[in-house]
Amino acid sequence: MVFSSIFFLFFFLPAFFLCYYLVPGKAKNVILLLASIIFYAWGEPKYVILLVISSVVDYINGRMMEKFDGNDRVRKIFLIVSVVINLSLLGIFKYSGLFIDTIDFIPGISINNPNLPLPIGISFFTFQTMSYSIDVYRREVKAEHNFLNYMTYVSMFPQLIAGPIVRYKDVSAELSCRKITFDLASDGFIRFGMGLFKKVIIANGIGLLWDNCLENVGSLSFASAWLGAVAFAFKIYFDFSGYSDMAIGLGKMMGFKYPENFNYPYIADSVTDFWRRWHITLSSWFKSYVYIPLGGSRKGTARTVLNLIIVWGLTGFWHGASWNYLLWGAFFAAVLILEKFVFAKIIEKTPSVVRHIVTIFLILVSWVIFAVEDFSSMGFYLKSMFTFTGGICDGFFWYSLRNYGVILIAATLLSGPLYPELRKRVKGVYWAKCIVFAVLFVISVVFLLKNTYNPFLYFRF
Amino acid sequence: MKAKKVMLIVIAAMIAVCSVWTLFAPKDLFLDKENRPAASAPKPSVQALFDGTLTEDIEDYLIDRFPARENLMSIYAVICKAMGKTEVNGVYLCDDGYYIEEPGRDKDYGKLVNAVNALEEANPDVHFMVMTPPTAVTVLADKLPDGAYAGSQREDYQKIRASLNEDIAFIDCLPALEDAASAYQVYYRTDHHWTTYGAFAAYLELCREEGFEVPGISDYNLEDVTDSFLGTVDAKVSDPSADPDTITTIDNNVPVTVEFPGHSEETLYNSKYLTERDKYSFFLDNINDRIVITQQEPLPSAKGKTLLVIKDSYANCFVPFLTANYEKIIVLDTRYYMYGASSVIEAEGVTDCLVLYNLNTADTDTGIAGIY
Repeated sequence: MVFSSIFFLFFFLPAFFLCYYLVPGKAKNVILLLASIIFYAWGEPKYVILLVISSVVDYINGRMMEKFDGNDRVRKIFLIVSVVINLSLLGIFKYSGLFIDTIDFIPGISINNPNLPLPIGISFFTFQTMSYSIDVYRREVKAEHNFLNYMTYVSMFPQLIAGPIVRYKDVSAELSCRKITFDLASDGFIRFGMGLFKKVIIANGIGLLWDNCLENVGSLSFASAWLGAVAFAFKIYFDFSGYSDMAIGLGKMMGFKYPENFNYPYIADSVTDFWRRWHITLSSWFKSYVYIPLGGSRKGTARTVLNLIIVWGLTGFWHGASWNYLLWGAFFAAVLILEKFVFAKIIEKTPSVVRHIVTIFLILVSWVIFAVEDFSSMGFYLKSMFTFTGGICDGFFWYSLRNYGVILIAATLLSGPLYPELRKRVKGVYWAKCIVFAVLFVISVVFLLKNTYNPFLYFRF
Repeated sequence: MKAKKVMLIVIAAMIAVCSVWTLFAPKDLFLDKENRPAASAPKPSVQALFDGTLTEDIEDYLIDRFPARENLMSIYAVICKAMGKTEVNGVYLCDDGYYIEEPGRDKDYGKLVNAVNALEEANPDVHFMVMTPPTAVTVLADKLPDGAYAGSQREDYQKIRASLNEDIAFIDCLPALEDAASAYQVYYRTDHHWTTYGAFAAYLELCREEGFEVPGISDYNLEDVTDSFLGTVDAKVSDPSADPDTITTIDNNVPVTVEFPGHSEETLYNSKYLTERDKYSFFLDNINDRIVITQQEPLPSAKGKTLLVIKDSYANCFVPFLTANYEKIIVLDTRYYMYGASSVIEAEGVTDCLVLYNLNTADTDTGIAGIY
């Protein structure tokens, strides 16, 4: 099920909260778990089994690590079991198709591709359950004894299919006991509404412009190609962060405090800074569970470079089973290494405006690598961005500017901390704020109903 | 705090009203504006559950019954216009109140050309004519928003022309339509069809090609049958400020008998549709798999001539002009007529055959498979 659907907004959600608020404290997890399973099964029921396997495996691993507390070898074995099983699930259901297709390129080899449909959210929940096992192994959290609580953690629907990646230790206390207040719940709802607005109006709206550019790939002018890259940058940010806002908002309505996932990434002044602001729960996952265990930056320059390459290769590949995502990760590895080791001093002396422009430039280029899976189209697209073979500017550019100008301006403003600033400065006028929110909510529903265009991006993750 | 509470209560109430309304909406519902029945109730089955169609059906069912759906669509159009958009839901908002659909890309008309060529080769004694009128996006291209993608109908038109068999007469209606467009409204502003004036311009071209007497518009009795026609393209946009079209009909003073499936009439028009939303269906009574039109008193110039028309809905307002030139006209809708055009040609002694498809849908029309 996706948040931006009529069934979710008008049926699933009201019914869920009615039950959730009515039942007493202990039973809330039962309601949440049941709802989450329905939510996950909606449209693809057979993969619920993967969710259960992943939960059972790591629940048992956690308990076993606790039981053999004194025996580090045994504990390590259970950790390895957890990681191997989770990565196998990912390998089989997410990457096997790509690997088989790639091997088939070798002459004389022909393997039948089973073309397994990607289980929704598998990249998110396997990472969550792995984080649990690793944290238990490191003794950073106690193993969960109550399976109901554990399964609830793995499957809770707000962040199940598109993050944020919530670590067990972030919510372990709330899983057994949480406070729900009117203030928290109403804040949560408003956060949800803002997320819906970002997804349905900004992301879907600007997404049309990007689609138009893709249709014209090969004949794009220089200006149109850059406009398209900007459109994609906004589309993916508002889609993804909108989804995170909705998840965090729903979590609040239930009494959970999920970690933030975005912090105005496009105001970053370096790519290093960008990755502290973009999909924060993912980059911190890789940092804690891959980069630091590999030695981080403490083992000399050569090792640090290698570690960065590994982490960013994996980060890229996590985003989808296609080679362009690996290239995308490699691109960031290269940029981050250069920022850290080659240009660090120069960057320090560079005026802030230039730093921002260079950062945005690099991010826009990276989004084209990310967004165009087919390498020959990607080549055409990048060629349009860096040569004038398609002309400097064309009618399509002005047409797009006319049609998407307002959304582009709104997206630009909302990419910076406009909302928190306004909140700080504009005191009072509560009625006006509430009316604005209600109007935005209604408009979001109207746009949602115009359902001819409502694609969901994250089925690739 | 109070404001927030009131707002949340209002939104909760809205959600509650909408969901209850949607749940209790009638099971059978016709969506007038979209000219289709609302999605039917989902049929639960294990298979539907597992292949995901059940949940899709549920969503479709709910969306189609959402309260005030059509008004909400209009709000969407108003917001888009307020944002300065010149394209809403795949439709260009053009000069002079025209709504013109965004054209598709990479169209392939090979299927149509091959079918017509094959039919011609199989029936060498029949005189074949092909007409593929371009749509408003080409003829009225000067009205499109600046920089809008205008499609490739001009090239496609010439390609079709060049790939037809030599013996097939191609009725070159594009220049005629462009000429007529400066004096008349040749396409509806709110619908994807050409108007009677557009059809007339193309008819004149057919007359020249076939050596018929070329009439003037004043030779006909013209009648405006409605001035409140909001067509299919308007339905896609739902712009509340759309300006309705006028439908004009002609009478060429040639009395005919029209055999529709199951009943016989003396007119090509069905005025029942003028009170409904889908007013273009007035021409030739909407969709019929086979219609036979016979001159009551055969005109000397038409005697012995039997025309077979294989067509899409563009022909519906074109056929009335042809009744002066053929003693008998058989109009086939090959989407629904299952016995093939060749069998009709043989059984009815067809002398002439006109294939008429508009360029917008001549690549995808499901009737093309039924031509040969």
